[in-house]
Amino acid sequence: MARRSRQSLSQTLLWLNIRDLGEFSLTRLQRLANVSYREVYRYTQELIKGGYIDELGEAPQDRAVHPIGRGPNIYRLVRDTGPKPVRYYLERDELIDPNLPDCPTSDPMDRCWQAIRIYGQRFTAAQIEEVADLKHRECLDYLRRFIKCGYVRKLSPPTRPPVYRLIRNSGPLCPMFSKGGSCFDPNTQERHEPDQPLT
Amino acid sequence: MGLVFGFAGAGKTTATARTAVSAGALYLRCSPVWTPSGLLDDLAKELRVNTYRRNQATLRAVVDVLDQSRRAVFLDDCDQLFVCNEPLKLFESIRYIHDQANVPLLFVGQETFESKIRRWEQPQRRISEIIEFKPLSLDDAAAIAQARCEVEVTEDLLAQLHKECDGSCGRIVVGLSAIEKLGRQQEIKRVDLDLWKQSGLRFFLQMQRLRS
Repeated sequence: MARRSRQSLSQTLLWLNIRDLGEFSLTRLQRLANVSYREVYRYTQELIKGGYIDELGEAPQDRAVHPIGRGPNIYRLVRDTGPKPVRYYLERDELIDPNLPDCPTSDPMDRCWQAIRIYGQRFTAAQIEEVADLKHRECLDYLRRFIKCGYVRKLSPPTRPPVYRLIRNSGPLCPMFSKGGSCFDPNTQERHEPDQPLT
Repeated sequence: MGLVFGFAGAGKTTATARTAVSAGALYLRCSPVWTPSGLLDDLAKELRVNTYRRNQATLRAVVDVLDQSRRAVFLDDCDQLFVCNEPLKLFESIRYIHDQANVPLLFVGQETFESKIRRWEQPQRRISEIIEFKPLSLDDAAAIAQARCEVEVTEDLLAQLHKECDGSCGRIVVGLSAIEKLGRQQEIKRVDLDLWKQSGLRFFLQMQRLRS
């Protein structure tokens, strides 16, 4: 998996766990998200700068049990803008919140997923292109990936143009695909390999 | 609050869905079995907010996230709201969420929805923007044909299609795809009314007058 998509996956896991926990220590967050401590530290520091979390200080109840006699610091989510992970771009040193309406970037695959969820039961590639503002080939590529991972199905008998149906509406977050075709669904936090559709 | 209304097939869903996707708005299709707690559950699911046993706690969580994100909420198929058991209660819940979160809210429904909502003072008073989707003109149909159809459609054929479509955007798109199919089959780049009549094809499976 490329470095960029690994970074994006880590941040997704961290944001989802931060929202679930509300209050957390870095070690607990690291354990739940299963990413490196360095990434946890860097991401939380950026979220503090962006005003998303506050550092509450040392947790007194942990002081006694901690091996060096000092409890871990506790953080609290104070600005919950929504389900999409707030992204930190190291190269640009920039924090971007895709939940905000004025977000400067919009992921085309995410737009495709949102359009598919709106139509749901019955749609054509042309409808998705129109709503998600995608090019034809781009749209077909995304649909192919969703079909491969068991989210979308082509309706039979085959028609021209083909009609599709959303068969697994797992939630508002777009599934993430790696170059090898494996998929991680941030809604259910499940991973699976290509040609092994989620059950 | 805003209201978008028009007859079925006018293109309301496509237009509002496109706006919702590009603006990152929450898009919900109204359900005929919604209750205030059902509405809250659906909103919480879209925002991935925990639901609580007490509606008040879920409402607080939903309002907090909406307030922080400033995302607009689009409610499509609003005609279904009147099929629910207690529509007024539901409207009051929607109004409360709108007031508390202070986010734009858009109702999307058919003509009947517009006439029904006018009867109720509370929701009607808060609607500041109203957009009506009217039947498409021949010029609109020509613009769609130019943008969407791979073969050239002559003026007489387009006028015939427009007449049979009764201004429905959805039907014009279906009709154009039938014309396109004929063009592909016969490997021609231009289809006129005579050729269309000779083919014996129909724009739609069943002719039906949409508007009288």
